[in-house]
Amino acid sequence: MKPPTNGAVLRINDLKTYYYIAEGVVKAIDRVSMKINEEEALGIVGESGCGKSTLAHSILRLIRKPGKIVGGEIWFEGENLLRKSEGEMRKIRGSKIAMVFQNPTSSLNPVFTIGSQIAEAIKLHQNVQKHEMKEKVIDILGKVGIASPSQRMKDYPHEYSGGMCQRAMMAMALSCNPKLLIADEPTTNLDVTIQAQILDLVRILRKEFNASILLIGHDFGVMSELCDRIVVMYSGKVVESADLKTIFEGAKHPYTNALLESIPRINVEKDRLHVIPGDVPELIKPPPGCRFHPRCEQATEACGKEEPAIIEIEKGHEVACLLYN
Amino acid sequence: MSEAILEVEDLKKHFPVYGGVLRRQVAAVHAVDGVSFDIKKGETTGLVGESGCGKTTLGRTALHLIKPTSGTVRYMGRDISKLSAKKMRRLRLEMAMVFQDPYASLNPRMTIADIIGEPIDIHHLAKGAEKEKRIMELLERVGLVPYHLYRYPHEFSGGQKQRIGIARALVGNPKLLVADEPVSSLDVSVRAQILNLLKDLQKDYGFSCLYISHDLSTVKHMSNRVAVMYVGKLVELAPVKDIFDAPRHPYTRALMSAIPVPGQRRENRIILKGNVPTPINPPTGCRFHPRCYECQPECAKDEPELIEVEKEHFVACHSKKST
Repeated sequence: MKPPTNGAVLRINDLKTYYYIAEGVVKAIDRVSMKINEEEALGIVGESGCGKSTLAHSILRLIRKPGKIVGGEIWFEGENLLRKSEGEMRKIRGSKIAMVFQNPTSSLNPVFTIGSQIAEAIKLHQNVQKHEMKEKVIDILGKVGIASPSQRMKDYPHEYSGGMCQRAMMAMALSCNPKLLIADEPTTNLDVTIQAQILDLVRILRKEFNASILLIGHDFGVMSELCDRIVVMYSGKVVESADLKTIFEGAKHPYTNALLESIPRINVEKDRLHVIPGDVPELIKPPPGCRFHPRCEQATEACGKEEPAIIEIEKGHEVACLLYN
Repeated sequence: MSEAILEVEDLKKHFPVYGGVLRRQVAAVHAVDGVSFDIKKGETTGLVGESGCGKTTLGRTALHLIKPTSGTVRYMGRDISKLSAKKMRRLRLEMAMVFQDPYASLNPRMTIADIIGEPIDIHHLAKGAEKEKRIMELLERVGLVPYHLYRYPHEFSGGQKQRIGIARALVGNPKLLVADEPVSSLDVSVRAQILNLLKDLQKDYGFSCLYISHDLSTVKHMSNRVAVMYVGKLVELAPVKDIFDAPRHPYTRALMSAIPVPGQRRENRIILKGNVPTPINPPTGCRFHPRCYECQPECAKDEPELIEVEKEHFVACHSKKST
């Protein structure tokens, strides 16, 4: 069974990833579907615990016990990643789908030099002669904006600043020309001025490497800088997806709108912020019906009973809300 | 013009760095290095800067939670470094603090009633039923309910914990509240709740506030005046409108242009080169000069002073002196 790709690099159908812990089952990803088009930058926005990182890890099959992918399909290059063996997955990870993690300083190995860690990634997936390797590492480090790369490749991670570590991670991820780059909150731990540097870099690299990007984060500002399309997640579900402009100017789901109105913005004067009452629900016992209904201003009685299906209300704009069913 | 509740003058805090076999002091972290500003009555002063620039240390030394290396802090005209420990303790009721990490700043072995009750006991403010009533009032004021009283911190979400931290700070009807990144560890949808709460409380209690944060959008939302800090020094201080609409210092301008704005893709932003320097060995002259895009020869030699270039608008930059 091979679904038509329709220009999609990655297509996720009905994915379910659950964690089986002593207290019960945590449905971190519950029937999520989405696709990433060729050369597209897709942003997944959500608050902590909405399942956005679990989604990224599920794509690369990096879910560890007590977590498990219990259902769904992930189509990449015409093949279902969930049916691949661990050995086959290992060939895909880092070469065709690469990932940049949230905390750059702890995702690099402290006892190896930056250069040797990048070389390791290249050696695993490409046939590069030993004498060419050094040049290749220098070349890629230069591309991600490390000054004097032939010197700095001999440094250890602790000699790099946070921003530089993130650049090195990026070099490692791009060293094998991936089709898809997954970046999980790549700038969350960085200062604003460094964040601007990294975002600028990603924009340049995106053009150069022609990779699709899946950007995960909670900051609508960062998302607007890079993404073409946005998927909003809440409590393990996709609630809305649309192109960037539609999300900001014509979002339909009450959660998306509430979230957008609750953030103070530099370009808007407001004395009081819109408040979403209550807290993010725990995934172990999510509310029945629509998971947002206890915090939703527009909730009706039906919202507590019936789970809304995700429906395309206009071309490329999907919403999961009973108001639009 | 309203008068100042807190005046900070040439405040310095250097933390010693020990090294070598004899563990002698080999260097010092110049966390706060000659900062002067004031907080006006009823106003909120925002303090922004990147990580490691000394904004938390400044907040704490201003309250004498850490003893400054030098400089003076005057609270309502009184130099607080000259106060006895006993008088200082009384003053602490009026100068309260809300901490960054609500997970770490509440004792996990104390119930909420104990946490909020502790300052009441220490300052002998109330006893027995009256004390209980007071705790209840505070809880209610910050949006919690009475049955929360005998729970422990781990039973609360981050936003609720921060509410407890705020209730504790309100015990002595503070005149000055230092809020150190009160929302940075909270979820986006919960941040608005806490920011609104702080604004409401400020109206009710009339306290002045020092709002410390690295997030410029929340600083803009909360503050009347904003101070921008870079490696232990203030580089700009101005009313919030001026800082955001007409920033003068090159660093402030770069900071402003670096903020990602939801729904917008910004063109021609100023992207700074390099990293924030270490406060152990800050650059000579203007501390920003190695990264500055308007750097002149004198910037590496002379340290610019914070000068009033316009009414209420202070800038520490050589190139802005003449304008």
